[in-house]
Amino acid sequence: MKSRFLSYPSCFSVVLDGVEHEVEYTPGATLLDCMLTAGLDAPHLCQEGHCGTCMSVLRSGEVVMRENMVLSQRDLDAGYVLACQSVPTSDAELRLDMDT
Amino acid sequence: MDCRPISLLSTQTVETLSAELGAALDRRRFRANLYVDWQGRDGYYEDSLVGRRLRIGDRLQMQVLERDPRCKMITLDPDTAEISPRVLRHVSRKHEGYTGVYAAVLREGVVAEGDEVEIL
Repeated sequence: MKSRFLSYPSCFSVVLDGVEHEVEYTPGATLLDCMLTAGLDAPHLCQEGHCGTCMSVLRSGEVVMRENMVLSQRDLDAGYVLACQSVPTSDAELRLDMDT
Repeated sequence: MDCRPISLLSTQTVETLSAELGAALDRRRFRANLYVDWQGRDGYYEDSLVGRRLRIGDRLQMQVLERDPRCKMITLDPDTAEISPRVLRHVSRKHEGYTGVYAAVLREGVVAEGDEVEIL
């Protein structure tokens, strides 16, 4: 059985309502989970990857989305990710922009 | 996602959202089957009609079932398909993710622009 070790950043930054926040990252959690745990009023609805409310631009870093039922290839090419489904896959600096 | 026979949205709701967002929104962004002018009512008035019956024109009757939960489609400009995620973010934060209502047809009928909408 192949296994893959995924590294992750200890924290990430998110621009929300014109303010940049540093958010602690919890291993295995989604970016939205971490933002909500940090008390941020991050926009979200379904948390299942089908509404698109949490779509944000990944300015840097690497993530994988558990599900994506709403972002088109055009959206992905533009750098959009669903915060409710995104989990980091490297320890590279991760910056998210929810004010797009 | 299409999950009910009829969607209905008022021009007042579109005006409210436009004012809240500081940008004129094209009502076609919300892809309703029927657009209603409640003439003097506030935006989101149709939310108060959940459970009520409507008659439009001489014959059509509908039952308003529920508020319409929105998705990424309302972020798209109906002419250019340009994405504006802030529209959905705003609807989710200020209106619990809903805009407009869903309805089911109780009695079929042909309707035309300008027909009166009666709340039964």
